[in-house]
Amino acid sequence: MPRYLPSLTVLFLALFALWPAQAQERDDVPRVTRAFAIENTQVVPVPGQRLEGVTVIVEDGLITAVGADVSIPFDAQRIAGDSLVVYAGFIDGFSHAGIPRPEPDTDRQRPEDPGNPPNDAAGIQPDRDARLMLDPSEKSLADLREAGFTVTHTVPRGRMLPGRGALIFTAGDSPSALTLQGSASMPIQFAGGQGVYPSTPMAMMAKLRQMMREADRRQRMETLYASNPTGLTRPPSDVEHLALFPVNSGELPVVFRVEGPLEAHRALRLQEEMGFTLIMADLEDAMDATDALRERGVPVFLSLDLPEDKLKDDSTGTYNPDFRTASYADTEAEAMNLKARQKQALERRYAHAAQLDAAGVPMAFMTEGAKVGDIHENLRTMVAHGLSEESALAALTTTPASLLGLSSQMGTVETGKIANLVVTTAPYFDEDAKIKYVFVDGALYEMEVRERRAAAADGAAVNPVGTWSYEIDTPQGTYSGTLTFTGSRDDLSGTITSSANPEPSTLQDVEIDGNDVSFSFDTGGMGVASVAMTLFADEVEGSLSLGGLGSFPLTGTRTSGPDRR
Amino acid sequence: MRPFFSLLLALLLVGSTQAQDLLIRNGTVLTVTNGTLENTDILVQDGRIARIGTGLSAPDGVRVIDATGQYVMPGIIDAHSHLAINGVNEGTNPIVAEVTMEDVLDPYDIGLYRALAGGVTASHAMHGSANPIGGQNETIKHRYGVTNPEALKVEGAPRTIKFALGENPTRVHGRGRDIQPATRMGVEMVIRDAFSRAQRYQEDWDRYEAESRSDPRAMAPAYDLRLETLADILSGEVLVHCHSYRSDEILMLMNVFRDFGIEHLTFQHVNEGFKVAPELADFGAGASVFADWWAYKFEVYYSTAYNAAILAENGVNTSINSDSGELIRHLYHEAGKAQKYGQLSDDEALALITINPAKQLGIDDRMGSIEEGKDADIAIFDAHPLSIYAVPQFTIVDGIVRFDLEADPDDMRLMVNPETSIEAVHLFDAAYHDHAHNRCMQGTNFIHLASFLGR
Repeated sequence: MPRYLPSLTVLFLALFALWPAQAQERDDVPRVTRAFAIENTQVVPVPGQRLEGVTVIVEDGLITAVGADVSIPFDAQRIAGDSLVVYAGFIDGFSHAGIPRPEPDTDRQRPEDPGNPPNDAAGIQPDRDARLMLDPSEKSLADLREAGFTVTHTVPRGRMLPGRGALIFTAGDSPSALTLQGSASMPIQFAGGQGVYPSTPMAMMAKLRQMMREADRRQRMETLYASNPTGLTRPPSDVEHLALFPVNSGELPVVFRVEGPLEAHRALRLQEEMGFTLIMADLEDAMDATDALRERGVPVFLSLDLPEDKLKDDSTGTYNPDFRTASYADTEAEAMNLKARQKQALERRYAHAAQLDAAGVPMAFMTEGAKVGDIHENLRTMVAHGLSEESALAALTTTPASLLGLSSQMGTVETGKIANLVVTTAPYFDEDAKIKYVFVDGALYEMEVRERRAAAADGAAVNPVGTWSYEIDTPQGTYSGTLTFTGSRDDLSGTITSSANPEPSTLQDVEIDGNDVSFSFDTGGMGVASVAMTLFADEVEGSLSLGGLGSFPLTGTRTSGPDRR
Repeated sequence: MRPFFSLLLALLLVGSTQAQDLLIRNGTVLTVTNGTLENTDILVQDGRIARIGTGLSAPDGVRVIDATGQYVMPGIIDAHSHLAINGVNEGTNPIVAEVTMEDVLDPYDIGLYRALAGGVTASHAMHGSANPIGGQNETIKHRYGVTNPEALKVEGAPRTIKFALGENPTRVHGRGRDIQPATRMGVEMVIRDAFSRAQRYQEDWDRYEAESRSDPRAMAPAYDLRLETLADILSGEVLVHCHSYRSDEILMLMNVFRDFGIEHLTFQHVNEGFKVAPELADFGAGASVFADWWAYKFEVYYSTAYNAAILAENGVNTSINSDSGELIRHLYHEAGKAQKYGQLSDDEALALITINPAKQLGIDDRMGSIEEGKDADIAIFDAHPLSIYAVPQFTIVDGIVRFDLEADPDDMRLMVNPETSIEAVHLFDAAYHDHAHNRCMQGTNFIHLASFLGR
């Protein structure tokens, strides 16, 4: 459980103290069994293939059988798979998962000589190791797991050279249990020292040249010295240059985090000079660098973040690249054309993954920078813009496995592979597909799947009148109560109760627009809470905000109503 | 000492600038180095000026530009700009010779197109003036439309580096951080000390190279990219372009360079150059000045619009530069001002923005005048470019029309942010109104007088 501000805890206790909190999940109970059988299910063993009516057996962390006619171990937990689809667990190309955010350093001293700062102040920390920073209780791990990721390449937070990346599972009881492989990469990014050298991209490039060439010199001196030290001055040594030796020799890949084509060209330029092994990460738009990536055989970890379509509601027309206004006063036609061009740029960005894939650039997805909740939708957007489902799935499974050297261990649903699995309620790229189970290293995690939204689909207006039971998810656990709407859609009022406050509080400022309802109420002592939620046939989903404390997810189901007495 | 991939780079550049043949017919050709040629044709082949003459015929399919009644001049060259680069100052250390603008070129900068619209075909993308010894600059051609940063570079142009004297470096380091240099004397010492260390560095490496021939167990000295670059200045491989205003510090730097045997020196801004013009000529130093821009800080008050003319008349190779994304669009006006004040001839005035800056950048064998065999970098105006009424019609780089007043669409951006409707436009950058905040000092921590006095 992450740390929360004491004040927040106190306030929540005051608000919800008497509410019947649901029992919190306990992690320390030994698992009953390490054997599982997903029976009579659909399996996508590798991207592009599909098996029907097979059973997948998991034992002691491994996939031990995939087939129609397999024997199920006597102690297996059986999962009826007839409406489910089983995929290989997703592998994330780049994240900071499992690594806590450092406390803000409020009394950071500015180095005395900003031109020659200590290495840590300059963000030059290639000797650090993500493996030594892990906290299994980090929420980022659970978030990734819920999105289907079972393994991630996690990278220390930092600046230019933040430290070596590690390959970790998204679940585990201890840092050691999380760790699959330490020292998996040398991440580099154009994040300069704050007010200290190197602060600009040009200085970072110069510094990297300096360090790599000096590391090369020292590596040769070390070899010479090791062969016969007698009579030789002892070579200089420090942890930063030492950490760069395996980069210099090409054993440790550089994962260069770049923003767009210019930074990509810069990373390629450094690679050309120094010859390290390179993977490009993030790269929101490669543009013309795509050809160079293909020619140089540089793979990409592509961000799962996509820009929002801010022109959704505007009519944009078709972009005319030859457009000239007759008069500078004719701003309307020009604005229209500029919007059309922006729209075109947006469509291009959505098609970026498809473009990289078509160009033959090896591509795996990465989660850093993307909202976990948007990942499924963003993948669907990429598929809608030309990326094949097969390639999209490969970029989540087999390609990252291969780029990270894990192909013999994972990336497919095959006998002998580590039991990292994603089990969905429908083919993953379907709009309604939900992840129901995730297996990480042979352990089962069940996700909450809500079957609903009948009314939302056909867009019919839902009548909220009736009673609803609701739950609010907070850092202190889940709380519940009853919500009652009276009147009609045109004249809506209501009350809200909880066991902490059995006297109903009257809803104020009740508004309904389509199926979006909002209201506020006085919590009595805690100020005014405001709720915004969306109605589905028999469910609601939204959030409750409490001034200063933030916003918390709210869900509810109908317990009585106009059409359900 | 530049262990880069020059061969591959050259191949890459050829690929990105597909030359286009062109016949410019019947224009008034201002060659700059060979007078004015009336009713003259220019045939462009493979990106070079193939022939200059009358009655030239175009091979089949070659585009013809009718320049009847128009003026054809060499593409304008700006010896001091900050276009097409991401970042200007690495102001954290008084010496940052190891950084280079060639690492951070930005071919998407729309400023390149605006410069083309002013007839400017090449510029000197400079590091800022926050450090006594700043970073290396890059000489670029305005091949707007290419997207690979490498394709902007002028292949084979000599390396150059930025130095800075006076208020900027002393304010950033001395007043801002309480380290040397805090005074003009300190600036001199920083430079002398740096050169001395570079000499020792070079000696160490020379000794090692000699030793390693006979002793396989010789150990190389510590590698230092900064000192290596400074050693390249000492060996004459890197040309120095120094931000400067006052005559005393200009004399100072020439003395320092004499002591270290460095010959290639161009002063930038050099507003008090008119006071030491004979000394500059004697040294062989160049001067790159503004026509009439001054009084934006204390050290720039003693200035005159006769500066360019006085320097030129004294035999100093003089150019007029922009140091601004706005001014670069009308350098021909600036040359016209120098002519108005100093009674320079047309060729002398045009040389200020063509062949003279080309010499200062070491690219005059390929650019700066209209001569057979030179790069086809050409600007075509509807009136004489020194006339206030002149408007550029075409700008041609390597034989490729990169600006066409009549044909180009309104929106010439190469990159569009899908999340912003219309990017903010800063045509009049702050530099024009307040040089103290200009791009020369971009990215540095600015110490205002008030906070200084309050300490």
